[in-house]
Amino acid sequence: MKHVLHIALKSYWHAGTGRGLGAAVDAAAYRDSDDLPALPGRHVKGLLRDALEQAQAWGWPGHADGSLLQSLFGQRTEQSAPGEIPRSGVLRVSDARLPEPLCAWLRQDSQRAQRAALFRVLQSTAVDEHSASARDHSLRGIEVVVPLDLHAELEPLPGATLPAQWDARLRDVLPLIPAVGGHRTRGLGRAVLTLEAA
Amino acid sequence: MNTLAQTLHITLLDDCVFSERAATEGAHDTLDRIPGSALLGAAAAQLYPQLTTAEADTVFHSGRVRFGDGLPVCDGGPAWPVPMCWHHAKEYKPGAGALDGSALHNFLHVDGIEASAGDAASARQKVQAKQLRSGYVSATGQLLRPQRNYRMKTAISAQTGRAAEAQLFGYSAIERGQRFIARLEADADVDPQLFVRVASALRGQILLGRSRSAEYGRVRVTHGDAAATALQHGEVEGRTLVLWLLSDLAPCDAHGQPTLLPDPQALGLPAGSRIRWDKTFTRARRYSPWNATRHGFDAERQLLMAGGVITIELPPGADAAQCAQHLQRGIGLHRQAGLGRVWVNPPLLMHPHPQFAAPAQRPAEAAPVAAPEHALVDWLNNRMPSPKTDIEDWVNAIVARYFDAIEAARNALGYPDFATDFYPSRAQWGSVYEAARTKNGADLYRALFQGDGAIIKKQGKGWGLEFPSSKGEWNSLADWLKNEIAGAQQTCDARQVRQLARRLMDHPAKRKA
Repeated sequence: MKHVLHIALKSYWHAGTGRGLGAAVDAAAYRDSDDLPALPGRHVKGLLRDALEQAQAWGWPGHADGSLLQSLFGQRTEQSAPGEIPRSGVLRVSDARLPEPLCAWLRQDSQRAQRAALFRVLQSTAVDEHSASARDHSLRGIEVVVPLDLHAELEPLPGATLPAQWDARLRDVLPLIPAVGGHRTRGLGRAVLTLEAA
Repeated sequence: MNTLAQTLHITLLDDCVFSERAATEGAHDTLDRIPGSALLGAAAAQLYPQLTTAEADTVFHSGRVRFGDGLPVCDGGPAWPVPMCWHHAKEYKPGAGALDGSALHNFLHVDGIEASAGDAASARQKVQAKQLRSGYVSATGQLLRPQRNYRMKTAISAQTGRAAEAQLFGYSAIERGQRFIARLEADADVDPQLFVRVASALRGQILLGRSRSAEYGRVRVTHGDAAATALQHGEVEGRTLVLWLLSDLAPCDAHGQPTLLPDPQALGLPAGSRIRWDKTFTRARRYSPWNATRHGFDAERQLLMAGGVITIELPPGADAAQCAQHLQRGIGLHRQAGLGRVWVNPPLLMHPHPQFAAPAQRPAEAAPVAAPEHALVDWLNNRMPSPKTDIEDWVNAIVARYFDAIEAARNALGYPDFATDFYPSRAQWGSVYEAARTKNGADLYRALFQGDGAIIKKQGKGWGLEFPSSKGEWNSLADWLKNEIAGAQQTCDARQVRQLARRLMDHPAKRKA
C-alpha cells in the first residue's frame, strides 16, 4: 500500500546539483527531466533515515532500539563487519514532485515562462570581519525555488513487507525534519512534512 | 521453428540507471537501452523462490528462455542499434529524425564514398568517410537517440551534516517518460505454462536498474502482440550470411572460453565456415555483471557490441537455409540475458544505400493541457513582475542555454576542456554591448543580424559555431542567438541585449587576467 509524504515548503529552497550556470549562478537548482523543480528521492530517503537516527540517539520511546530504522533503511555499509553483506531495507522512496496535474500543465512548451518563474537567483557575499565591507571575489549566486507543495511516494520494495505501524512511528519523527534541500542550516528549505496513506 | 514469444512495452516512470560497467573509477555512463539482464533479474527476484531447480535452470540459465533488450520504440516497433557498416561523408551530420538513405553508404557493398560528379580528377577521389556509430534506426529510417542525463551526488556525513569526504559520485540515467520495447522468447519445447508465469512476472509496475530503493528504477510494463518484435529474416542465397548484432554478443571458442574473435564452428556452423573480415565491422567492450542476490560480481564478459555486422562464408555444400535458421535462435554465451540476438540477411543491409520503408502517419499532436485549479497556477498567472526581475530572468535563462550549446559543441566537435577560443570572445560581446548602447528596436536588430556588416553572423569566427541540440539537430550560434534575442519580430530590446552582453563579457573564462 502506498503512502504519500507531503512536503510543504515555507521558504525558498535549493536542491543542489553540484553544477553552476555560467557567470551568474554558482549553484544551479535541481530540475527533473520536465525542467521542473523536484527533490531527489535519495535526498528525501536520507532525511527520513537521519530523523530516525536522531530519535534513536536521543532515546525516544519506541525508537531507542533502532528496529524501525534498520527495517526500513537497512544496514549502513560502513557499519557492517568485513565480509558481511549489509542488510537491505524494505522501503522505497520516490522523488518529491509537484502534483501530476500541475506537472502536465507546466511541462508543455507553452509554459516555459511559467517554469522559469519558479526559480530565482539569490546573490550573497561574505563580509570581511575587519573592514565590515564585502570581501573581494566572494560574490556567489545560488539558484533557489519558490515555496511549493511537493509529494513523494513511499511504498515497500517488491516482495518486501513493511513492519507493523511503521507509518505511525515514522510520523513521530517527521518534526525532526525542519528543513529540506541544501543550505538548510542557512535559512533555506524550511518545510512541514506530513505522511498519509494514498 | 516455432518459438514462444511475448512483446513487452516498457515505459519509464522514473529515470533508470543501467551502468555500462561497474568500475568505480572513471566516468559513469548508462547504456541507452534496457539490457535483457535487467528484465531477467526482475523476473528472477520474483520467481526464483517459487520454481523448482530444473525450472529455474530452464528459465534463467540455459538460454532456452531469452530476455531480450528493451529497444527504443518507433512507429509501434523497435528501432535497432545502428549497423556499424553504415558510413557517411564527414560533412553529413545525421541528427535525430529521418535519415537520408542516399547519404548512408553500406560498406558491405562499397569500399568508400565517391566524390560527387565533376571533373575526372575529383571523381577519382574518395570522400572522407565517418562511421555511423551511435543511436538506433527504425525500419522507416528514423534515427533515435534516447535522452540521458547525468546527476552528481554526495553522501552526507551523519556526524557533521556536511558532504562526506571522498563520497562524490555521479549517475548517468535514461530519462523518464521514454518508451522501450523488448521481446521475451522461449524455445518451442519450453513448457507454455512456465513461459506464461515468466511473462506475468514482467507486467505492471516493476523496478529495474540501479538505485531502485530511491529515486530511480520504476517502469510500467504492458504486454503486446508478439509480432511487433518478430524479425523478418532475409532470403538466403548463395553461401554468404550477413549477421546484424541486435544485442551484444559474447562469442566463445570451441572450448567454451570467451573470445573476441568469433569461431564459426563454436557458433554451430559447419566446418569450413569462415568469417569475411573485410566485410565484418565490430567494436568490443567488457564488463563484470553485478549479481545482487549473491552481492558480488559474476565473471567478466567480453562482448562484441550491438550494431556489429559479421559476414560469414559457408563451405560448399552447406545448407545455408538451415544454418540461418540455427543462427536465428541466438548465438554465443549468456543468451538468457538477451545477448547474441542476430538478424540474418536483414533487408536494410542488402543494398549499397539502405532502403527505408515509407514513414507511418505521425499521430496528431496531443491537445494542450489546461491549467488545473491550484494556488500555484493563480500565483503564476497573477504575479506582478518587475522589469528588472524579468530582464534578469531572461538573461539568466539565455546564458544557461548559451553555455549548454557551447558544451554540446565542445563534446560533439572534440574541443578540449580548456579551449575557450572556439566561441565568441569578450571583444565580440563587447561589440554587441556597444551596439546596444546607441541603438534599439529594429535598428539594433539590423546592426546585430542583417547585412554584410552584421555583428553576429554565421560567417564570423565564434558566431558561426555549430552545435547539436538535444534532439540532434545542428544549428549555428548566430542563428540561435537571433532566435533567442529577437524571435520572429526582428526587433531587439537594448536593455536586454546590454545586460546579456555584459554578463557574457564578464564570464570568468573570458576575463583578462
